Amino acid sequence: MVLLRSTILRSFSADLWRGVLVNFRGVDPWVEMISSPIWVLGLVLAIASQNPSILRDPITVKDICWSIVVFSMISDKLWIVGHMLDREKRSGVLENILVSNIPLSIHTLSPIVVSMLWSLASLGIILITVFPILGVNPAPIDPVLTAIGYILSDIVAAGIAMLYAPAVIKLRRPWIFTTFFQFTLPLISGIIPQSYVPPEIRGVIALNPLSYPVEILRRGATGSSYIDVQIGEAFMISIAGIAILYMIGMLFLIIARRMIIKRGV
Amino acid sequence: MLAVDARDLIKRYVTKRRRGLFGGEKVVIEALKGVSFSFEKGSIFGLLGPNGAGKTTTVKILATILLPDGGDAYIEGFSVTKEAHRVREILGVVFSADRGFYARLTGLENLIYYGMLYGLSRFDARRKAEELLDLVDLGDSRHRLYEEYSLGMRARLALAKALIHDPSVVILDEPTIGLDPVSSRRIREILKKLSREGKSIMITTHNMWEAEILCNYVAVIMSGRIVASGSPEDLRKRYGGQRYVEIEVLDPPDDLRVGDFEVVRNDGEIVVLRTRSSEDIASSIEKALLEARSLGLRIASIRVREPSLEDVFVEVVGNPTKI
Amino acid sequence: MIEAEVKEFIVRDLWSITAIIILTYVFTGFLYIAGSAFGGSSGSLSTSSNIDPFAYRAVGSSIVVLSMMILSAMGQYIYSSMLSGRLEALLASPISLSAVLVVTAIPMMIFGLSIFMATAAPAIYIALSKYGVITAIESIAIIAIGMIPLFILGFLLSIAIAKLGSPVILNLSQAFIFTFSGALYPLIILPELLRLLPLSLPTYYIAEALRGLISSESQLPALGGVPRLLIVTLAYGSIGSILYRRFSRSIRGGVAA
Repeated sequence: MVLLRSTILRSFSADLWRGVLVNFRGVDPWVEMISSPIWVLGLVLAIASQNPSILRDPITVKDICWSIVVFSMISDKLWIVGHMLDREKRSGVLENILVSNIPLSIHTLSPIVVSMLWSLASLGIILITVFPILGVNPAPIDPVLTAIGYILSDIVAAGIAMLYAPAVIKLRRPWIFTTFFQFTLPLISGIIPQSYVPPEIRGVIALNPLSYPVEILRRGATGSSYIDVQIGEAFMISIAGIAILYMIGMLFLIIARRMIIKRGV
Repeated sequence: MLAVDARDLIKRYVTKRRRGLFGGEKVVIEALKGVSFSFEKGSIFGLLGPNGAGKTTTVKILATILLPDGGDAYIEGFSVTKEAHRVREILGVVFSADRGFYARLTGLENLIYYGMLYGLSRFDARRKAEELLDLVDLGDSRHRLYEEYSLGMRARLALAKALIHDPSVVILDEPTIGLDPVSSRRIREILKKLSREGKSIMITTHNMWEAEILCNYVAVIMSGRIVASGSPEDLRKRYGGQRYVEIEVLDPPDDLRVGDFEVVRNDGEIVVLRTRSSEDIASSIEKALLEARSLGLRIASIRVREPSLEDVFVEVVGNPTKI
Repeated sequence: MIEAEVKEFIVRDLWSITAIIILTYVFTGFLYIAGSAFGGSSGSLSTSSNIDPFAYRAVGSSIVVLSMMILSAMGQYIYSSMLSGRLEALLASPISLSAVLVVTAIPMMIFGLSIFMATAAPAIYIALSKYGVITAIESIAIIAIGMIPLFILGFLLSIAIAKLGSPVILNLSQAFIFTFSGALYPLIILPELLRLLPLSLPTYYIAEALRGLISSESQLPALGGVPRLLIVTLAYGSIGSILYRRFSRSIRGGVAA
């Protein structure tokens, strides 16, 4: 058991080290990261343009900004974590991973951490660029609650992407599905005010484990509340959601490995 | 002890034959139809076959990344289906000479990463990686990104990666394909060295000459079946056909005819003639020389051409009914 | 050669094109739902004209998606040709590089138009119902003209990527086009300092010309945006032609090899 634990830890640290080098080395990743605030600005303005007068209300603009931050976070997870196995399959790395004894579930954990670092770096750039451009104070109302909400949201989003990753290997054009989820998943994760949402969709939002950490994040950042839930309750549901998501995700990856070995890479 | 013992391996793939935009029918492809072979520890084994014969499928099954639909294989006694985790500890694999690494990592970093995946500490992985990079002549390029490596460098790095955890069995799928002669020779030298050190090596190839000079034992696979197996010499005797005596003649006269000889090549200035040799090589050579001299020919060289593995391959693969 | 390119497009990319059309609606829906949720569905998109918000968004999304598609395809053309070795084969062939670029662009233009027609259907419907077929044809003509500077922009991006030896700026330029296209929102909501950016992009003029067409209050269809679009097309054409000549010389000198 000790040997297994040390092997897993060693593999995880190897993957983490490798992930940081691959994703943050050189100029290219930083140029890519600069594009994040530009996308965020574009989305915020496109949404606000429905009723341009709301741009004069800094609280609403701050709400929209943080909603798009969550959108960006989900997007990062879907593309970085969700497509990881597919990228490795195409580059021939997956065969080498399978022939080692590292479980796919452990191998997938490190890109989760790397993508969280990526999202955090993007957030930093967004806070110092997009918020001031739009005349919004980037400082959250409750920094501690914001940090908790942000970290929990990131972990849950990564867990969802982990569930998605095995499916991506089998799809011929996975970008179609990823793009679809990129736009629909945020809408059912509580990033928009509930008053506009039909009751059926409100039910889906209530069942979505991502809605609760997002709610914590928003209350900490802007003080707005979209879902009728106590903070403590939201926290417990988030933790339970993480546990369930990751257990199912690990199971999916074990099944995925068996299916890959049965049918070939 | 046997290094590898494959028994009745069967593998089927289900694919779709597409028709138009939406239509298609299911097609079952039998990649392996009961493949069996084995070889001893410390030897070099070659699995030869044309493209699509089932070589790569066999490699993937032995490497435990593909489950057979029937049969089993044992790597130093461990079953690839039931004891895959033990097999992976003692097996090193090269799937492809030019893929399988992270483009944004250096050669050294890639090896350290894989070493750590195999349970080595960071320190040990680094030490081993440095050693292996020197072995495969990549020491000077260790800090260059993988994406900057040439094909020959990538092939050597792939070999180094297969050895990072000091496996006792190494399997390489077409290790020298597409490589220049210098890189190919270097790979072969390393494989011979590893074999002398006691490692068991299996290569797949359709380069017969390479198999001939490297392998102690070969098997020929075609359409998912082993059609011939044995040492290269055995196979030459069984399927290789005749031994020939060849004479190279300078400034040949027009309309040259020499006894039982047939013209193999004629470029105007040099003609190569050959005749079947008897079991007594010396008298075959003497007879050939006498005949040539009697016609006043200028002889540049004379040699006995043994049947090659390529002859065996062409014979066996080209005439499967002969087996 | 054009027929072969078109056939290859159909066989290889039909599913992708269908997906792009559907995803454009998903994107439009996302903006509409989020915009309505935050701003209320009674909000007006434009401060200067009344236009159905969904039609406004449909036109904007379609233009943005089309632009990003063209940018992505053209932007990587030279770089991917260099990597695959196809560029050397092209340079060695009797067909000029410019002819190849034009021929590559034609099927993309045809499909770009088809995608636009499919994704901007609400706007086209309004145009048809208000002014009839002639306006619908006019809107197609606007898009067709507008795609020319987009292709040139894509080609300029392609040169930059080939020179840099990395496609990393593709994402950056797509982000730029997305945000500053001038198609997704009225220029007036941008901070003053940033309003010059959309004015340098052809997407703004395409959007203005189309929206002018479908939101005109007069009895006759508006033509206000079309002359400006033609001027922008000419400007891009001139810049593109100068840069193409320089690039063509340098690539034959082995600089980009």
